[in-house]
Amino acid sequence: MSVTPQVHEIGDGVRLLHVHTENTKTTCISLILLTPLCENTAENTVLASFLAHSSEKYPTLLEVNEQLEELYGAAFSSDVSKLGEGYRLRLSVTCINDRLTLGGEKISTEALRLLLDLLFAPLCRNGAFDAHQLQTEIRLCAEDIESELNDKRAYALSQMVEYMCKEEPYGLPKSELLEGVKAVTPESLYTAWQTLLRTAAISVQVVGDADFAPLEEMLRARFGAIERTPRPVETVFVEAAEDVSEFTEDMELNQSKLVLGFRCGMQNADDNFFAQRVMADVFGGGPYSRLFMHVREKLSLCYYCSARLDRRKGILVVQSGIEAKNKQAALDEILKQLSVMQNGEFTDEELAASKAALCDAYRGVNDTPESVDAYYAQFVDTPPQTPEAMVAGIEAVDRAAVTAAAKRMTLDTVYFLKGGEEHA
Amino acid sequence: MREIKNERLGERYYEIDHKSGLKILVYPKENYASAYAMFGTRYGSIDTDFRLQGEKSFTSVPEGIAHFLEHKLFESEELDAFERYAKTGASANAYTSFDRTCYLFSCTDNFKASLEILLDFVTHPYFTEATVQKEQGIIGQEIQMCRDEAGWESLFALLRAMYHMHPVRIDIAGTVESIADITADLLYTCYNTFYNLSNMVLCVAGNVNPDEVLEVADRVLQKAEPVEIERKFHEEPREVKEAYVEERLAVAAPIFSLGFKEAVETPERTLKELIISNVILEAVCGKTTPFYTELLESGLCNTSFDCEYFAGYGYAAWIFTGETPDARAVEEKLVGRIRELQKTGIAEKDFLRIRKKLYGRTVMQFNDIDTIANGMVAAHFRGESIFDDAEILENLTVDEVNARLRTAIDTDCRSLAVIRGKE
Repeated sequence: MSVTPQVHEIGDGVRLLHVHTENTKTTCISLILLTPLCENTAENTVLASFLAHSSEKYPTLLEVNEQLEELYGAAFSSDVSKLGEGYRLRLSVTCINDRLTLGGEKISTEALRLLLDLLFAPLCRNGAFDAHQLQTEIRLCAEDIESELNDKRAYALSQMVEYMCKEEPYGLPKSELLEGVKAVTPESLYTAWQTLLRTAAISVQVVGDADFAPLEEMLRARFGAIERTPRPVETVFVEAAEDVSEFTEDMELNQSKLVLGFRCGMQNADDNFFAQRVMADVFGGGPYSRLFMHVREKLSLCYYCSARLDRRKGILVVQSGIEAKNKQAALDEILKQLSVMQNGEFTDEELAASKAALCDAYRGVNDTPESVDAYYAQFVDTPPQTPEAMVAGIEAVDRAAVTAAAKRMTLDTVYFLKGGEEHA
Repeated sequence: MREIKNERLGERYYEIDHKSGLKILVYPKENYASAYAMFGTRYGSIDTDFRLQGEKSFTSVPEGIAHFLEHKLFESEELDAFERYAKTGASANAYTSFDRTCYLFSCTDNFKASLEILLDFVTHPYFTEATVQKEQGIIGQEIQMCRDEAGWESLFALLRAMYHMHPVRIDIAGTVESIADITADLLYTCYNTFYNLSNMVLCVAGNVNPDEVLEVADRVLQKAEPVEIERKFHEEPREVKEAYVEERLAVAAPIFSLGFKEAVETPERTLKELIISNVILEAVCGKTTPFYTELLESGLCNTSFDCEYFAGYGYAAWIFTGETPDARAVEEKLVGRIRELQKTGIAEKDFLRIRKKLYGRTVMQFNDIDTIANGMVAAHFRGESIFDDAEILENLTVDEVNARLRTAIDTDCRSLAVIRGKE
């Protein structure tokens, strides 16, 4: 299905992106706000939770959830995540297509009304958020941050990033965030909420087979009413690592985690992007990749070993789970495979396989409102590129471009979460 | 070829009894670029003791062999399946659960070529001692990885506490020790039993039509004589094995799994029982119960709290999980909550709201071809259709739900497993 998004400007720095998907079962609506990562980070983290759990009209979680269930179990989610050195707050609701309700109700407008109420009319009074509710939200956020330790793969990845980017906002330390979250006050949360509405880059996404006009009208009324002075998000791109830093952390574990951070030599998110994307995939994408075929299949060192490009930060991360005693062997093999990439010694079949797999994934994006919504969420403050444009960009990448992209990689950080041998 | 329709959803699929003996379900979706295919066998980690009709004794195989077989089937004498898929651009994978093994791919292009690969490699095993040995290192690391995952460990600690005999208590991938006993011969024994086409199903959804699927199936599949597989029905005592177990791992806060073991007289639950069970769980601790809000606000639980009706061949349990500073207190609260609800019954208005929510969630699933294909495999192995859910929900009554609430959950028959941090 070829679907071109309609883009409307509905406020100062507020973009409305509408994608009509014929005959799908759901409608997805997202409100996405992007602010600099280092500004009100703790408050914005708490906001994602606070806004999702209460509003002036529905003051308790129970009432918010009752409202969602009335809307045929509309699925609501809210989260914050890094997008380069921006912090992206996203409130989303997915409800069934109006035509499929048992009584012919128009639930898409009701779902949007709820979403807008949560963002614009939170539980606050006289310049301060509700103190009682805030206590619960602070605890939930703090526990959520601490529980990252339960997922060793995620924990190891964020530890590596913390070390690698300690001089950059991107390396935001967990301990600092945790401390900040615990110190949020009803007043500071209110101020941060105001700042967010006034200065964030905002993208609203409506995807599905719903009557768009009433939704657009509601959105224009709400977003048009705020006075805004949007500020751009800027990200530091470190082009090359000066030397390699190594960190080892001991933990009682059955499996050790090896995480490598590379600088990609990118100056911005668009710099050489398609070549970088293909290079990362041939190197450590699918089961046809160098890392899978060699570190896993040939040497049997691991169950997973993969590479991922973060376009918005210009870094590439390799992750693997191994036995502690195999650390050097795994590290050597990963670097050996990188040099294969740099010397252009990968095969034409590997390159073709990677391009085919990447394009295949982009071609499927338009199939469901959920995947369309997730896909466009990466372009909050940049012109949205369609999946078709991605396919064209990938297809144009050749062997020379991939080799050149690989040559720009420099290893910055090696992080090792070391499990005890006796537990293996 | 039979067409199966659902008027309200405006959806349809086709059911084909292929001459090879394989059941094929094709679910075309208009306007979709992707197609998703899943080739599944009714064979999972719990199938450790079995015999074919006519055989005198049961064959016992090492724990984790179904999962091991799944890994090895990707290999062949020439190119392995991943290398073949690399040429078509399809994204391929496989998984093994307690009671099934499924091989799948999704693609937007070259559908027939990818389907040919899928049908071909799954029906052509190639196991040697050398390749078996190579896999022991890879799967060994997969097992170790899972042993560090607190949620996974907590669930299996609970299953080991609840069950004395039933193989649901063993880890799906087995243990480093158990997989060391796997040989090429044993893999062939399991393969020849469970990978008979009469024990399998092919489900395809998305940008496909039945003719394309049949064209490939006709070419690749050889007719197989159907087999009758007998699974050992393990004599599982009614009582739990242990009421409380505790383990230690590097975790931020203690993680609990609480399970109420259900008495099962027949091997399997019906779809209606599964749906009613989900309604009951929503009524006990769903997000619109004051009970859930209280759990959250009291500090006893956080948003990781979850529950599940956990059922398969010969086992059924009501499982509650989450992070908590005080697992015993959560246990006490949940037991109290269930007993109270068993006394008062679920109110009609709550039932209606839950039913509406579950109906909405059922409808939402029909967007996603991956969910559709998985749903068709599961429904087929239960002898039902993927459209049955919405219909059962629509006709469900609160009395039926309350009847099951009172009989199926025995609050005295329970185990609590807790994963605590390292000292």
